[in-house]
Amino acid sequence: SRSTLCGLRRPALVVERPIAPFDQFLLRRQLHRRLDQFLRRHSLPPARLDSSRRARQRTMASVNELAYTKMLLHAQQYPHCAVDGFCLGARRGDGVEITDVVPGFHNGSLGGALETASAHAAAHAAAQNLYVCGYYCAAAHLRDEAPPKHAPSVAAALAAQSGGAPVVVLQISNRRLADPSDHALTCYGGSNCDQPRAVACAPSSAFVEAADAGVSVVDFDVHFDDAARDWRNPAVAEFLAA
Amino acid sequence: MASYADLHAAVQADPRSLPKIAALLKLIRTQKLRQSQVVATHGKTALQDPRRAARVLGDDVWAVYEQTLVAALDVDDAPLRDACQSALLKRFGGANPPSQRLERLEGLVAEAAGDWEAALQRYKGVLAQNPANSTALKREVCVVEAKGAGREAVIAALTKLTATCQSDRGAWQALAEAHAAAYRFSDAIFCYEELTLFDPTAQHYMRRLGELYYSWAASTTAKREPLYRKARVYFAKSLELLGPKHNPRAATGLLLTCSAIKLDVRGRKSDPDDELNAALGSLAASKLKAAYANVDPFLRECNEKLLAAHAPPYARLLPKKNEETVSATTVAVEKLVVDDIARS
Repeated sequence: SRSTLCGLRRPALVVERPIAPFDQFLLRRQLHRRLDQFLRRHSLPPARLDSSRRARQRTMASVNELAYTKMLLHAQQYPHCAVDGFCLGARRGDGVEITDVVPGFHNGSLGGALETASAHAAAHAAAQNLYVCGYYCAAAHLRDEAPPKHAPSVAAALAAQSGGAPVVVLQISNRRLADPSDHALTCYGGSNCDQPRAVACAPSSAFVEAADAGVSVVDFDVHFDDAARDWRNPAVAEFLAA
Repeated sequence: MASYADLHAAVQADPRSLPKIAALLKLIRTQKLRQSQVVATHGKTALQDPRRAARVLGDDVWAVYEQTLVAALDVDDAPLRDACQSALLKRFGGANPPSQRLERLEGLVAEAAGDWEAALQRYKGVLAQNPANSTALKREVCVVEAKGAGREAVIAALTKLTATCQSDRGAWQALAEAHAAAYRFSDAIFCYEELTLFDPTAQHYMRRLGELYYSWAASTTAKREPLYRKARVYFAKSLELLGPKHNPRAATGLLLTCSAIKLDVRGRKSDPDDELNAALGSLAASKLKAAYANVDPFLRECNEKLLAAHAPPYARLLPKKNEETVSATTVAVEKLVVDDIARS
């Protein structure tokens, strides 16, 4: 009979009636919890419901370790200045996937230097089948969390240069740099690049190790004073690979 | 005269050698470089044994203590800071009136701890002794900036400082950069003009003036041409002052300015300035080519692309227009002109 198949001792009345919707709901929740426990015990990534997959798609920017390390190394090298730079990456749906970064300026970019630097960065991106998909900045003051006022216009110029592809503004938050379990990036997207968006980035302290090992980052400010310094910074990728 | 990179490499090869560390720290002191992590690590090695340090460094040891203290504040190294502070206090403390240099360092320690009131008290004490002490005045401005009072408060403080200490180049430069960050280009230009009065042969002041005029012109919508022309003058002067040395920044600035002037005067009758503009543009292009002559081929290619974009015809620099709209507009304009001629 059914009761012996279930392995549970139920009164015959309960086994005969069909499962009410409420019980069905409970059963699904319990099933997910059990599934999670099973997966965790066997060290598999947890299964997620549909709604979180939609949340992941809403992520405007995802940043990989090389790009994150270069950005933060640049910010750490000039801790008393406001630093700038460009993010290179590929388009992924409505957002961008940032795989490399070209450090820009730490002395304030004026006089057409930003346009020249973006032209160079675009050439570098085209050589790797990417495009200039973002502009990153860090404030000079410890407690200044707002993005600079010229960031939306720079992003608009980059969007025009890339022919309408999505462009983000990444702000390095000085306050969150102190927290090793959190990445320090804030992403601004939308038509004027002033609406906060989600950014996916693994928090990594590789930039601290790189700075201690003496890896220094060459940006356009340094390059425009001495053309022999290479702003593509192959040393950082070498350090991460080692 | 060895460069910072060479001395740093020498110290990294032999981290326990005091003479090499002393040479590196002296260079950082004289050139006022901000390399706090380097100074903190190597200063710590140098000052570990105070007697050996005093013997090797001689009279410089107190300057090294001061430098290492400031670096320890920058990298937040509490034991190193305490060690340097106690050594300096033992040697110079307890004087009456208190040593102004030591008071400044005590104020810096208070600032690093976030104790603004204590720091301001120290600086007030120094200014009571010597009202013209520029380091104390500067530290007061730094406290205003560190408190987070905002850019306008910093600009007001710096304006007061430059009114008092008119020959302080750092203050004028800081004020100029603050104005430029607030997009007040005319005020930033005024500050840099004061700097050129102090040092007329410094190419970086001329270059910065050119960049400020260029940015001002690029950000306004009317009366751009005189600003671009002034920018061209300053960029050309900075290239002249550079002489044989390469500086891609000044050359790029001149190139962009000449192209901007060419684009601005397009459509008018041929400008008498055209030849000069073209000559300056080609000078800038040749300087850029020379600067990139011995570098990585990819970087040189990027430079070539830039030069190609700025070579005549300048139509490549114009924003892309819809071809049909352009031809339709020209046809309409021709019709209007023909009608006008027929009517007159």
